[in-house]
Amino acid sequence: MTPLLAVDHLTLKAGQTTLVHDLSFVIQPGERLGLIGESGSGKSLTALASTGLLPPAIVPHGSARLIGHEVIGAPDRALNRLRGTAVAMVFQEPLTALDPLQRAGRQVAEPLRRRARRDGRQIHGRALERELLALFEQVALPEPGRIARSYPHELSGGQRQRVAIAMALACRPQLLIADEPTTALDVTTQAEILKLLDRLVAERDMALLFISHDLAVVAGVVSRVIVLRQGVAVEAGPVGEVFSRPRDAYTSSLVAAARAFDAALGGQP
Amino acid sequence: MTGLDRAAPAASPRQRRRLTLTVGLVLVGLNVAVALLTLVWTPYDPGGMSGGRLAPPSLAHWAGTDRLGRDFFTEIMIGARIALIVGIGAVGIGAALGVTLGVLAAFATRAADDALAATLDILIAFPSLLIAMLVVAASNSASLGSAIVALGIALAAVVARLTRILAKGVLQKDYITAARVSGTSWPAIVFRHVLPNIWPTLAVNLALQFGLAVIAEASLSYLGLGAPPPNASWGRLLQEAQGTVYTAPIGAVAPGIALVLLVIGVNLLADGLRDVGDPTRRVAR
Repeated sequence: MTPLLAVDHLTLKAGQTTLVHDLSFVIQPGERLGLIGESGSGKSLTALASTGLLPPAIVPHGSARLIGHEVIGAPDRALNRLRGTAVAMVFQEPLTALDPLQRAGRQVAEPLRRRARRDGRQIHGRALERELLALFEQVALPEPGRIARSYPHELSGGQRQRVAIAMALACRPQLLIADEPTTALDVTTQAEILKLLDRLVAERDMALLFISHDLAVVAGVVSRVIVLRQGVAVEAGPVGEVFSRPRDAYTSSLVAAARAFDAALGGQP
Repeated sequence: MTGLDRAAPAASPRQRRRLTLTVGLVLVGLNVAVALLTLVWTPYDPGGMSGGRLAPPSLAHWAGTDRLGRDFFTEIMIGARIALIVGIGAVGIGAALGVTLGVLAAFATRAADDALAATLDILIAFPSLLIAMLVVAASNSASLGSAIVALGIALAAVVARLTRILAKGVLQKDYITAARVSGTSWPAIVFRHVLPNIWPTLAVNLALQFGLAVIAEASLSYLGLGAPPPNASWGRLLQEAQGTVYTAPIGAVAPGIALVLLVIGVNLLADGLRDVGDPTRRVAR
């Protein structure tokens, strides 16, 4: 079976600085992988590289294949067909992930219509609106009709992130990349969004690449993790194994820090 | 201080914004109405003598007569038409050229972008008067058209630079990355996300440029590089009034007032329109 995403000896450089060094991993259909590391460890860049969206100043070496198609060095036109069908992305900051000048409904309707067109199906008007509202209901947005007519600044952070997730789902991707999707949210909303992502990935049989610095968050959602430190993968393996018996000193310190934090909260998760 | 003290403002932001839009609309509307009126009717024949030379304002001649005995009010009315043509023409050329170049530069590769940016900086450093003289020299004669083209080119450089910077800012936003990940094509990103998001800032700048273009045309005409007689642009009226400014000051004051009113009107209108176009600036319902 062709893996959804196969990253092979990926190295990212900005000038002389190496940002990601010799990273390799594979995501099979339906699989859930967590990419863990502190800020600046190259997690997000890895995600951008595997969709061909690196900023021009960063030069990739090695290979990243999306459903068998090489992404590194591929022209934008070829990548455009892959994006929005093979892969979609949810970002950290829900405020900047939505266009401030467009109503939420319109922003989600656009990828919905495009995906339908790529499947050789034209939807517009009532049918499009019906699919849109159904999608909003799936991401558990209250009053989908009202939210569809709202501008991003009229929505709460949690609602905006749900709209952003709906936007990603509208593409019906095989692989969902979630780049710190809960970091900008408060703890209660965080838990809700995580539960939602967990449910949606299971329901739609998507693969998930979950990027986070937060061990507790990652542990609940994915089955396998890679720990990145300064662009180098220091540890990889099933969640339980890595967290209970970390082999690398850096992972141990991360786990210890997370435990200390939990203890400081009085055992409250 | 209690909260109640602050809860009783003189005018809500919404009312103030509506006032801005209304005053702008009235001033610009008046100018447009007068300009359209001159196409079918003027108080006197614009080319013919209708009274004594340099007559002071009277009931028959609201703004007096010029040194050839032509009705000055008629000339100012025709000037309103010329000012609109110049403003719309120059801003139209400037916006079309400038926005296209700016967006291209924002999307271009590093090297092409650097080259474009340098060219624009040089063009901006170039006095627009010099550009105007070049265009006039190239087209062999000074006309309203050559003045508009020259002003449009000078304006395009400024607009292009602004567009480039604004577009680059928008392109770094997550929603652009999100749009690209979901397979949106470049043209769609430009028209759906980039242009709408830079439009509010751009519109205000274009209104400013409109005012500047009208004033610049006045100075070009003043130097004889603009529309030749008998096109009574406000700049030409000012130039002609220069010699008689002590004996008949109305000749300099009247076109000056007309010019200021139009420029203020366009700026207020743009300010008001920006608020209409930007949902985040609208007052929550």
